[in-house]
This record gives sequence, C-alpha cells and structure tokens, in this order.
Amino acid sequence: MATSLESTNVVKPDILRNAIGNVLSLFILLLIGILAFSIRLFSVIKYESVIHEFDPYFNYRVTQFLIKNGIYDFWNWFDDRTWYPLGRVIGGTVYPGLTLTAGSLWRIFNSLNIPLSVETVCVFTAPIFSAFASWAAYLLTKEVKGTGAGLTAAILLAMVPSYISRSVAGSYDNEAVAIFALIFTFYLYLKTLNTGSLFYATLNSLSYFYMVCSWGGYTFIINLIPMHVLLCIATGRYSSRLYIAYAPFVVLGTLLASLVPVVGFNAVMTSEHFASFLVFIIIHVVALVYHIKGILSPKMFKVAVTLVVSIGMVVCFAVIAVLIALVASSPTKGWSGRSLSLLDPTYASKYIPIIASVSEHQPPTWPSYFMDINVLAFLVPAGIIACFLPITDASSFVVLYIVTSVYFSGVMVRLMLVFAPAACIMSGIALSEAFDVLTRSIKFQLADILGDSHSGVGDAASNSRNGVVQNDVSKVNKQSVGDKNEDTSKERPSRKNRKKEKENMEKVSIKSRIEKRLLVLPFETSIIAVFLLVLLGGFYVIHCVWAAAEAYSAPSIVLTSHSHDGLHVFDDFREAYAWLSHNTEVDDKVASWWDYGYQTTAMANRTVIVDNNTWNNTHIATVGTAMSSPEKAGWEIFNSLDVKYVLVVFGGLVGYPSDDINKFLWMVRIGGGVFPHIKEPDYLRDGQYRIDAQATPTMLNSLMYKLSYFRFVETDGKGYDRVRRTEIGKKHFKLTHFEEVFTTHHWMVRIYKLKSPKNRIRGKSKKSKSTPKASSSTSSKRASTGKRNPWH
Amino acid sequence: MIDDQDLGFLANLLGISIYVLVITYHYIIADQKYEGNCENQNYVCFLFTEMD
Repeated sequence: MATSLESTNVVKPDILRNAIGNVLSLFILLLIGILAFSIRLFSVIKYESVIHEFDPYFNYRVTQFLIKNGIYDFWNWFDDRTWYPLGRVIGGTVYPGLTLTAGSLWRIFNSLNIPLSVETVCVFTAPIFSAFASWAAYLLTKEVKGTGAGLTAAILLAMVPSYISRSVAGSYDNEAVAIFALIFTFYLYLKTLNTGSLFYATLNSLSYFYMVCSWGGYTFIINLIPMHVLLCIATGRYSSRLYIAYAPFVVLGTLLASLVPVVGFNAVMTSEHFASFLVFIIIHVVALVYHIKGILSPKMFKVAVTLVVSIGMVVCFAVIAVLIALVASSPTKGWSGRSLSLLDPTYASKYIPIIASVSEHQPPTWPSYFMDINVLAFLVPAGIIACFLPITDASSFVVLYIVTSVYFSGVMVRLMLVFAPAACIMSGIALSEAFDVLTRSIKFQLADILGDSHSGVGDAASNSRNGVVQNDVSKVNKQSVGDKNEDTSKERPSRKNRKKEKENMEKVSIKSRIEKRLLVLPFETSIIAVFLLVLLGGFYVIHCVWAAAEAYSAPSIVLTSHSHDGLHVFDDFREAYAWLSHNTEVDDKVASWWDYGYQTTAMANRTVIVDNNTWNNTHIATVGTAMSSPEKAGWEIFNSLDVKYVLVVFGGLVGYPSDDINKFLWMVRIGGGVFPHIKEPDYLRDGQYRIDAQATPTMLNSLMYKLSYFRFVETDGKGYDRVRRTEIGKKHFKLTHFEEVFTTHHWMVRIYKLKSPKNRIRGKSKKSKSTPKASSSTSSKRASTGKRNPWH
Repeated sequence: MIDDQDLGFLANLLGISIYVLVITYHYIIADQKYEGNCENQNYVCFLFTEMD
C-alpha cells in the first residue's frame, strides 16, 4: 500500500511536469510562428505590398496565368512574349512548386469567401512558409536532441537574417517554399531513421517530391542523404532502419522527381543523381552481407567473403571503367554548369560568363557571415561538439549537413540560405545543452536554498543540504538519494519561481545509493551564465530585427534615399513600365539587358528579347553585341529582331550604381564570347572601363554609351556622372538611328525607339557602297537588292 | 496601421520573450542528474566526476 502510494506520488509530478512542458512548448511554437511571420512584414509597412526584385515578377506572372487559365493550360504553356523570336516553354522549364502552392492558397482563400487578390497571396506566401519552416526546424532538431533543442533551433531560424533576406513579404521566389520543403524532408528522413517506419519513409518521398517541384537545390538533398548513408555504413551503423530510411526514398523519390517536367529524365541521367543510385547498390550489398553473416558460420562466412570480393572487384572495376568513359565523354562530365561551378568555384568564371556575372553566384565575404548568421557563427562549433556527445544517426546527419553547407555557402553567397537552417540547428543544440545544465543547477539548488529559509522543515539531512548548497566541484557530498528526495519534495519555494513550485513536488525515485552527488554548477555562476546567455540572445534578436527592417526589406523596384530635406522615393522603374504599357502597341518588342526582362513582361506586358531565365547564351550575346556595337550596327541587330524599343537603365544622375553602364563589362564579355569581333581590350583603357575623356573611341561610340548619356550634358552643363564620379567623355552628340521617346523623372530608365529606315528617293541613283555588311551576328531581313544602305 | 518603429519594438519584445520562455521550458523540464547515472551520459558528466 505504501509502495503504491509512493509510486503514484513519484509518477504524478513527472506527468505534471511533462504536461506543463508540452503546453508551454506548444505555446512557444505558436509565438515563434507569429514572430516569423511578423518580422518579415517590414517591407510591406515601410514601402507597400508589392512584389520585389526581378525573379518574383516572373513567378507572379506565371501564377496569374495559372489562376486565370487553370492547371492544364499552365502545364502546356508556351510563352511567346519572351525570348522573341524563340519563345519559352514555361511548362517544361519552370519549377512549379511555388506557383502551385500560391495558386492553391488563393483557391482555398477564395473558396472560404476571403477575396484576396493574387498579388496579396503571392506577397505573403513567403512569411507564411517561413513560419512553417520554423516549425519544421523544431521537429527536425527534436529528432536529434529533444524538445528543448528543437524550440531553441526554431526561434533561431525564425529570425536568422540569411533566411529573412530571401523570404520577406514580397520576395515571391522559389526559396520561400523550398527551404521549408528542405527542412521538412530532412525531418522525415531522420524520423524514419529513428523509428524505422515505412509510413514516414513514404512521407519522406512525398516531401522530397515537393522539394523537387520547388527548387533546383533539390540536388543537395539527393546527394546529402546518400552521403549520410555511406557514412553510417562506413562507421558500422548499418541497421534495418537505415535501409528503410533510404531504399524506398531513392525509388519513390526518383520516380516522383521524374514526374516534374523540368527534371524529367534528368532524374536518372545526370551525374547529380548518380550518387544516390550508387549508394542504393551499396546498401543492398551491405544488407546482403549482413544477412549472410547471420546465416553462415564465421569460417564459412570468411570463405564466402573472399570469393565474392574477388569476383566482385573485377566486375566493379569493369562497370566503373565504362561509367567513367561515358561520363568523361561529355564536356561537363555530365554535370550541369551551375552544379559544376559548385564543385570547382573557378569553373564559371573561366567558361560561363553568364553564371559568373550573377551577383548571387559570387563567393561571400567574411563579414557577410556575421551579418547573415550573427552570433550563431560561434555557437555552431559548440553544437558540432554537442552532436558527438553522444553520436547518433541523427546527430551525424546534421554534422554532415552543416559541413557540406558551409562549403557550398563559401562558394556562392546565394547558398548561405541553405547554410542558415544548419547553423540554427547546431546553435539550438548548443544553447539547449547549456540551458539544460544551467537551469538544472538553478532548479535543484534554488529549492535547497529556499528550503533553508523555511522553518519547520527539519530533518536529519539538513546539514547535507547545506553541503549541496555550497557545492563546488571539489567537494564530495556523501548523502543518500532518499534524503535528498524528501528534501526536495517538502520544499515550498517562494513566488520567485512563479509556476515552478509544482516541480518541487517531483521525486527522483531512482536509486538509494550512498555517495551520490548532484551534477550541478554553482548556483551564482549559473544565474550569471543564464543572464549572459539571455544577453547574447538579446543581441541576436536586436540584430535580426535590424537586418529585417533596414537591410533586407527593400523591394528594389522602388528606391529611397534620405537627405536633409526628407525622404526621396525613386519610382522610375514602374514609371517606365507604365509608360510602355500605355504608349506602345501590345505587340511591340522591347530590348533591354536581361536583368529587366521579367519585370518588363510582368508590369509592362510587352514582348522582350531576353530575360532573367538566361537559358540561351547566344541570344543574350546578340543583345550584348548590339549594345557594344556602334549605333548603326546596333540598329541593324535590333531591327533584325523586330525590336521597336530599347530600354536602358542609367544611374548617373542620381547615383544609382546598378545601372547598365556598370553592367556593360558583362555585355562585352558575353557578346565577345560568341561574336569574336567584340574584343574586350577595345573598351579598356589601362585595364579599366572608362567613360570620361580617357575612354577608348570604341567605348565612346558604343550604343550603350550613347543611349545612356544622350542629352545628359543638359542636366548640369558638365555631364557629371555621379556613379562613375567623373565627367563624361563625349558630351554633345546626336543619335542617328534612335530617337528618345521617354526618360523617367530621375533619368533612371530611358526608352528609345528605333528609327525607321528612310525611304529611298526615286530617280536619283546613288553609288551604293559595296562593303559587305559587317554585322556577323544576324542576317538582315531587309529585302533590299544588293547591299544598298538606306542610311547613306 | 502599425508603424515600422512599433513593429520593430514588438518584434524585439516578442523575440526576447520567446527566448526567456524557452529557458523557462528548460527549467521546467530539467531533471536531476546524479554522479551514478554517468553510464550513458556525456563528457560533461565525466567532467563533473573527474574534478573531485
């Protein structure tokens, strides 16, 4: 009777403690979701609810099409308003996950009679999914180290600036949903690994399918998981759970991945997927070996192993030789350009200028690590160590995740985004371990300290309590556990501990061994340490909120500057697109550098020649060549492409540095890469691109120079370029083949129309110049007899 | 509508509150660890025992 009473007394506090802990953890998760959503709203509050940057405009346009026309038309959509005259197969070249997600959200809201516009749904998709991603991080870290670590990782991920930068309200891009899919897939993999459940394995495959639909970064998953499986096999951690976690994933995942049109047969043909198949074979071999080892006696097993290994090696070498020959026969060894540039960071700069020119593909600087993950930078190593104490399958996975993601983030600044969740998980683990020790120290010494101050709690072990209170690691406290239990159960601490007095009812009913010592740090030290960690967390929170508010909320489509007379807003881009939309025909073609293609098609609704998809290098090189050529040659190239308007971005008047003159070097390089008559040294003076009086004649005569600086001298009389900080070289010139039709308020966007060729005058014969046409880029479509030039 | 200064303040407050709540959660869940329990535990446990 007494024992049953004691046992119920023992069990109840545990249940109560866990119940309170569960409720509190749910409440914390809810708050984390709210925080993740609201911290991303700065862009909407400071600017407006607008889509940001460039790529999101394409996604927005595609979503509009999907919602208007339905999924079948979207799947089969051939877009003729971009990459004129080539067009683009949208259905087969876009990752549909984001679009389908936003489309589904819109449909759900509308079916609930919440009339949100497509733009609103697109703008707020990213904050919603960042809340989901935080919850996924909680689940994932819980699989590794428990609920406390999960909560800490979740709060860190909700606020990490690196993730905020790609998921603010308005940043309607693939990463907004892909990071959630990535973390959730990893969580389901670890769940399967820990439980050995086929149910979770299936869910894992479905989650991987969602990731494949969402982002090209799915190749990270399909390489990391096989790497982890290999690691487990190599460290002797093979088990049936590992097999169940991996084999169904490869089969189902590959089948599902090939359903996505943009992936298709790449799922089985490209080198990026080969690792998964190789490890699939290896795991079956290992499973077979273990199975046979269980059946045979040790001696027989040794014989069998020798036999099989010798035969197997021969077969293996033959197969590998064939594979290597096949793969080596392709110029990129079977890897796509982008993936190869991850393995060899110098690859893109040597061979693919387009990839090298994208600012996101540059390596990050050291300060950007501190900007993007802040204090996590030095919590990560502590987390890595904590993962080894003790090492489990799940903790080895996250260690592998962080090591690979650190490498890739060092290659490409865009991949800091993949590194951020790993950093948050590691830091969460480290912080949780610290909190664990410190709170335990406080809890079980506070009870004793407060117990001293209460009268009427006398027992034989009071001096032993004092021993515990003065505990430092050099003292040995010899008392029984039973006494300690009675002490703690009888304590009634003061209101200082708010809801924690219930925990003092808890009994540790483990052992009654003598010479037990409570593993705690000194009480005062623990208090100070907790305070310092709260301070650390405070720094992190403040930095993250600052980064979200100031650094990462700018929509790029609208620029602001603060000066002595207040806030200036530069809305030139939308002004230009609105002008195009209202003052040009629907079928008019607009040529600009590829950066502005998506915005032009989405906002101005005009056909463009090249856009941000950059799938056709020759077409981009054509436009680059036209911009680098003299006015006449440029006109001929554009005329051959049916272009009516040319758009250039110019920042010289206001000091906007990302204008076309600063991008000009890429036009020359990309153009020169395909059309050899464009030679970069012709544009350089002493190795630099200059636009002042020292500039080369080729530069001063180029179409880009002329279109940027036409009439620029009229602004201040001197033609002072605020970005290049110099006066321009050629100030007074006329355009012969183009006419200016619109320049925005701050001269940031300038639109020119191609002049029609002059009519030939009848009756007068002019000696036609018999020089062959110098433009080697495109053939002229003019049906003129001979080589008569209408301009002469 | 809310100002960006107010949103910044609220975000800071919420962030730090959640952080403190997480520490509270650890406090609630903390259970006693004794020297004798060291069999399956980690390096920290080892550290405690060694420094006698």
